[in-house]
Amino acid sequence: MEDNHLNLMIAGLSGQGIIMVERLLVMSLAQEGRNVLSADVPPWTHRNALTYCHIRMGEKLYSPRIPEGAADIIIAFEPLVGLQVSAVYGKEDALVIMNDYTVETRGLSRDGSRDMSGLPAHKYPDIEGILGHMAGLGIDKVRIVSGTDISFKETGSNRCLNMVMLGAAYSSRMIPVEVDTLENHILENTPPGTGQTNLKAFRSGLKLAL
Amino acid sequence: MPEEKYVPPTFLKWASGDVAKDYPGKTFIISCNEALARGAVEAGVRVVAAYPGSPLQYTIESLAIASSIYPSMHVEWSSNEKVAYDVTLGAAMAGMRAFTPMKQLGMNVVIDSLVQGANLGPAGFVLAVGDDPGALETENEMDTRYLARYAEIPVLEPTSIQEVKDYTLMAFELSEKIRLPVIVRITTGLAYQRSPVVFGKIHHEIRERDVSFDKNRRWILGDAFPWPMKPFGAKHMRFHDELPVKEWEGTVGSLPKASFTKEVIERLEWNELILPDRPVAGVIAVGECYQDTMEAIRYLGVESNVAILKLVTSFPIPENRVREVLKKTGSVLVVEQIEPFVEAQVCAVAANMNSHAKILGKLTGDIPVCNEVTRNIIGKALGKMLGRNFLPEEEEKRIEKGKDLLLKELSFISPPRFCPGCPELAAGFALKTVCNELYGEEVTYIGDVGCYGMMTVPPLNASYANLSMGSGISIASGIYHAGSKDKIIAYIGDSTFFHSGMPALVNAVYNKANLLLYVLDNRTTGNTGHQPHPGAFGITATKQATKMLDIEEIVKAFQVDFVKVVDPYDFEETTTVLKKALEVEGVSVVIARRTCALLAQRIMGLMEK
Repeated sequence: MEDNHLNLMIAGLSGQGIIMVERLLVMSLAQEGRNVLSADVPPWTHRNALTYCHIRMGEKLYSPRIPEGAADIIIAFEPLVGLQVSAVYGKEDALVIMNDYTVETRGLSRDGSRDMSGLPAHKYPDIEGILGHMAGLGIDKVRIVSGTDISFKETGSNRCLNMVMLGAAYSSRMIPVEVDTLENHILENTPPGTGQTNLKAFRSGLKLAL
Repeated sequence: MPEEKYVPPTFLKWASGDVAKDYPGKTFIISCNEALARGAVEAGVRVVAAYPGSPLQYTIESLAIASSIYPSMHVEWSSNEKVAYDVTLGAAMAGMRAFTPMKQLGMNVVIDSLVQGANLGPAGFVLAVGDDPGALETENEMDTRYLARYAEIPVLEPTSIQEVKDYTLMAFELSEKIRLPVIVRITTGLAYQRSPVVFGKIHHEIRERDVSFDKNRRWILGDAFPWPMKPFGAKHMRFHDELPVKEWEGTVGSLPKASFTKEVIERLEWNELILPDRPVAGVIAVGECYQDTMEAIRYLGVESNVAILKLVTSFPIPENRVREVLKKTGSVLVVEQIEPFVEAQVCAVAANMNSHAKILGKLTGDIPVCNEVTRNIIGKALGKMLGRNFLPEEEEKRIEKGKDLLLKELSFISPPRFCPGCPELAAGFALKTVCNELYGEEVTYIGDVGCYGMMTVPPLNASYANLSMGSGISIASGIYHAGSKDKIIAYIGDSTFFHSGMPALVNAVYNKANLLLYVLDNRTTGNTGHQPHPGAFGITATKQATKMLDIEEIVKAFQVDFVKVVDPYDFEETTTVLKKALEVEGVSVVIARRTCALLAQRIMGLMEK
């Protein structure tokens, strides 16, 4: 890390709860007296568009935006998104925590024949290929998490994927905040009535102990 | 047409109202949109109007919350940006502080009233404009500062979220002092930042002051001057201190002159100058770019030997401070988002003082014009000035390799398409099916601005053009009048119809165009995050119940030759109606109405609870 700075990026497809995770992390870090800045890069309100957030922490900060090639940690909610964002922002040796559930609406299909609208599509690259591309850029610390599966198993829907990923990322011990602070914010600052479910999902991610 | 459940005006709960409450001295982590809203609330703003547009659409939501706490405040979603501007201008003319945030394309819509309105000399009137370097959120990367310059009104560019709050507040004071609208320019990179902001006092007394519309002010451009003075030019003359006879200054409303504005700007302490004894280079960093410029300077470790001018007022620029930098340094780098707007002004200052300092930036190619200016770009330019590398060569190669990978090997990953379940996708599919069957390739589809821009890409490929709000109908008419033998289809959305579709439709009917207008009515402003409009659910920005205008009734009054509402989820019904409509000579209108799938999902979720 450059002069005690931590550059953390959260990336996924719009609708996956990326900005919620950003807000919880920023609130928790700030509450513990850390100097923290953040910025989102949201797309239009369409579903399944690349969305990512910059979070920066350090003693002397001017910009919340992580420079290209300087992210220490990347939390990716979808494999191809993980590759896209790592290729631009990933530091050599960056830690990437990546969900393994693929979303194929962007002109892609699993077997390469037709996409969801019945048109010829490109084949969604396999995970090995994605990891190979990342390794070629010096990013080989990639932790694969079955986040969507865990979310379904623990909460009955994929809506808590973001909390599972947050838990998984936290378990890497790279995020300098007390677990109680983060859990409090999860209880208080998620949509009304969803606190306990979100906490459960967070803890199931935490158990992965990456 | 199935009955859609009526949604009560309170279908979305208010978020926290903290941003609007009295917490002087307290710190909150807020977004840029909230900071704009907070600045306006602290200034005691009375009337706010806007049309939704990224990246500033959330400002209105925060201000709507404020209006639920302070009932005298009026906050509205207007039908378009010009309407919003005129509403707020009216409020400013009536002596109240008024505010209108808009996206950069909104400035194009406003420009007519903006230029004239500046001449009238309104006070306490602030515009916020969201520019979009890199076109991350919009279709175009235009620099609105040229329009501000054209209208001859000042532009402020805050460099942090705290400054967004502070300078929005102070922009009202500045506007009152110089009697001009003031623009706060936000760029996308800044618009979505979130950081701690110290709140100030709310000026309730300003918001609650009495209305004072001066009927004797002559709020018009024509002043009755004797020949050979031009009756309409006088108000413009004040921008250039060229009023020939002193007595007439009174007639122009004793408005402050350009030299006064310049003086005020010159004295502002917002434009911070750090000038070391012997600087090795100079940097002028404008607005948002100040952040990444400082990151680059810090990374290079040259903080104490570079002259840095943090520029908040990008028009007019504080010339004396710029001169100081030019005098002390041999080369100056100007860093700003999008066009070399400040850079050209700095060049002019340098030329007039016979400075030999080299001015580097976008005009010299040291910084690219298009796309966002980031730390690495600034660092590279700075490194070149100082004769050293910014990033190690290997690292630069690695970053290039990453980008190459995306652009060359992974270029098949396409941008987003219609959301799953989108009623506009269903509507488009029905139309395409009918047109393929009836006309084959002999159809010309003309789009408009909205979610249905996705018609231009697979799977539908059913739109060949997509320009500006409300242009689709007129472009389609033009193609018809040019003599096209194709069947002509024009799309428009519901919010776009109210924005600027109506005059275009009137024109098409009056001038006997032959086309089908397909209204994709998803009952919300979908692209920008589901803001209400005159035809959606009968609710206002402040969640009050109001009249709901029916597009069907409106187009009937326009005497179109055919009109019918369909549910795009009902494929049989939709295709049958479309076939009928396509047979009609003249302007036929089919309204495909079904609530946006994302919004419907949210409404259903809230109803379950």
